[in-house]
Amino acid sequence: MIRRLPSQPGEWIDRGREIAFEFEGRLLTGAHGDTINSALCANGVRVIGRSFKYHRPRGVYSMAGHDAAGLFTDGERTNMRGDAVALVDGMCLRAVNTFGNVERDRMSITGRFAKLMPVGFYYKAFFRPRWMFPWFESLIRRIAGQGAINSAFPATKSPKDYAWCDVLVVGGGPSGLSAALAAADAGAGVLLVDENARLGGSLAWGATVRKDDEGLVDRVHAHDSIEVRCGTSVAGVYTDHWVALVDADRLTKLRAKAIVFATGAIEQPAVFQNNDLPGVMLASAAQRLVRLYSVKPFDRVVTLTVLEDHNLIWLYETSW
Amino acid sequence: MKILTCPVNGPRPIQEFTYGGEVRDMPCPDTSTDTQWADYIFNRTGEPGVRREWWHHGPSGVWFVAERDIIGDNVLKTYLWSARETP
Amino acid sequence: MPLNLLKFAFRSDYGEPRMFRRPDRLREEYDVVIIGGGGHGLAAAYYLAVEHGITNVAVLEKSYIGSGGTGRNTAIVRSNYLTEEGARFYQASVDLFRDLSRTLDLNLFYSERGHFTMAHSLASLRTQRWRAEVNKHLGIDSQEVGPDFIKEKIPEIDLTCGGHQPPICGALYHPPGAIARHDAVAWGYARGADQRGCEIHQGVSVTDIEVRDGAVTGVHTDKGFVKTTRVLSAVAGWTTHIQKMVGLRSPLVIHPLQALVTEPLKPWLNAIVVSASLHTYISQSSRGELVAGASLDPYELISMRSTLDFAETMAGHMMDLFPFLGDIKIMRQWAGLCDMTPDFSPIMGTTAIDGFFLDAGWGTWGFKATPISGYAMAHTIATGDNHDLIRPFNLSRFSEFDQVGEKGAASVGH
Repeated sequence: MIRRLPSQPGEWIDRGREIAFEFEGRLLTGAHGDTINSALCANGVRVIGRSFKYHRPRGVYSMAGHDAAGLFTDGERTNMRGDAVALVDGMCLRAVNTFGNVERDRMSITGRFAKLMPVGFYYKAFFRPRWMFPWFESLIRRIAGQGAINSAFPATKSPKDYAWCDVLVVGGGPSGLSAALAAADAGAGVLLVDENARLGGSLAWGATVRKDDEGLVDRVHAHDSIEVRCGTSVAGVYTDHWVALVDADRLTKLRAKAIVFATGAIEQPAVFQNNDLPGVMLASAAQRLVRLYSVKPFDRVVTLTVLEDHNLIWLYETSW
Repeated sequence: MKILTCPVNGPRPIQEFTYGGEVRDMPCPDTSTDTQWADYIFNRTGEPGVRREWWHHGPSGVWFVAERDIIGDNVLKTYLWSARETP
Repeated sequence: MPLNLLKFAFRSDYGEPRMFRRPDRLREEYDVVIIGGGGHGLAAAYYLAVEHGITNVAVLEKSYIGSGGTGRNTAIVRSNYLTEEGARFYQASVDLFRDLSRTLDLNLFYSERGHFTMAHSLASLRTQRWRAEVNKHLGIDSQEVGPDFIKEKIPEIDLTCGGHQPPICGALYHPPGAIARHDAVAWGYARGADQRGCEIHQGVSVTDIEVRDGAVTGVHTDKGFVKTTRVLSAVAGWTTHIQKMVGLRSPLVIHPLQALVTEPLKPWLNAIVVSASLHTYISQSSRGELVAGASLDPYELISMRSTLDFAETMAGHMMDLFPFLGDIKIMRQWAGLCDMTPDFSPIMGTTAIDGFFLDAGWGTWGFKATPISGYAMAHTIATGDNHDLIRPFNLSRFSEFDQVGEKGAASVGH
């Protein structure tokens, strides 16, 4: 773990519990609490996947479940999202949809023909004469798709569960925590869900914490009328507040009387050439890597931001 | 899942109900023309707007009337046939 | 490699032309106004121009082209229907589809995958056999096949359905069954119609249709009034709105139909798999997503909302057929509007109102009929006389008690 930083305040990893895993044939070590991506970063792995069309090298980008690249297979499961799936002892991972391996992907040669393959080029090619299309199609089908299916995957249906609450709060950041407390103090039965392993949202990794927000997480955990479910995604919100909650083990069908969406922001990438190369990432991804997983995401940094909260210089000065 | 209010059993999930089509008056089979009869058999009020419909609550076997706006799925009220307002 | 791609690559000043123009205002008068910029409406405009030289045509679309059923279906094309009228009509559509990429100069990814309608009971197998016989009689490639054949063509399938359903005992196999890029069909027809002078107006809503002495005289829109004597309604799920404007009654009722796609997977499923008993049809797109659709929602509704019931039930049924999919994630679900007829055949052609033409009743079978509907409606509008292929589908069949029962050929039990 050559890029692991000294212990950070509030880090989500448990340094005492090391996890051995394999990535593309390399034996590596992570810690309990790591996601696949944070463990790879901690080991100095820069290329974690390949892009869909030109098979360009890709690194971590969001660390928040929004990465398009960084999909893995462990031989049994496929399209595992590296920025959302927890690292497990003995995992044997490969990036999906590479030809060769993630470092040397033979299909990256398509990048040289990029000029011939503008957006939507396939609508303009491959259909003359008619009898040639099936041949082209079989080629296209060979390179299409992401992970391969595992036709031996066990036929287990996950259990279903039901739940009811007065107020569902989606998102365990400062505003979700405050909303949950306010609703619970007013007498409502509250269910607070967050897709991350722990509550806190930007409190856990942001540069600034308002004085009022300190202790929010503890107060929520201590409140009798608030049930907390972490590692739980809201997969869909349907008519009359019928909600699908999905966690690692089950689908819970929830009926809420009211819903508060406190889902925060999805940081958008800046648009410039080669903004997808490994090493370029969202400021919030760098912050998450440092604060949650104690991983050093860079040695030198250029920041492009409009938010004081994305202050990577501060991060750099205070963390190592 | 949508909630529908049965006039006898109160609010229940829509899966417990069966839709019975719009409330329509049957013309007299003996006196109506073929055209009138065909209109009754086949044609429907499929337009958006509020209409009166038959619904059936399966577990309890209650047939009742719902006034529903079919463009937004808003149920304005439900009542038993015996409680309808007769003009 | 087509020339325009090479031009694109090697010339710095070569810009891609837009697919079609965006006219900024409506003309005062059109020869034909087509309401609805889906595949059907755009195809009708295209064939009016190509086959009949009528180019003073406006296609009015209240949203963007292909935003309705055209972009919401599961993109399956087949002609293995139950009635002679139906099979002949859909076969004519398949014939046009096969060459449509060349006709429209746009790759529609029309891909013949082979279409299996699985039977889980002898009763269902009997209907498949009936369809196969009707099809063979009309020269359509369909046959009844047994479990061994199915397993050979689709090795991943679990014929026992995990014991959750009656086992698959045979199927109707229709080799020409195909999938296509549905949006591209709308784009291709739009470009072709536009190049020949038709106007495509997106973001224009029709608010009323003017009828005097039993004949159409014009169309009111939110962008003003246009004079015309011929109006085609090609709005599928919104037909009941339009029919009210001209005072027509019809059997149409609107139900939502839902579908979903999974995350992209390396292609493994070549065939199109349909199970009527499981209310499921599945294919794999050229991007690698599994596309799956179900039967209609159980009550009338003009809303494109999704339900969890659908996603949950569909996931279960997909696993009955392909038990290893338990770890595959659903990426999106959506709904479209289906204008259902009691006999599961469309309503096409002339109406009691002079100059008002219907292309409706597209329920769950509209996409596959796109080319032939456009072709036949263009003929009907241009000549004033119903094209032979669509004569059985006139609205008058209901008042004449002369339906065309296609329910047995719907992909799933409704």
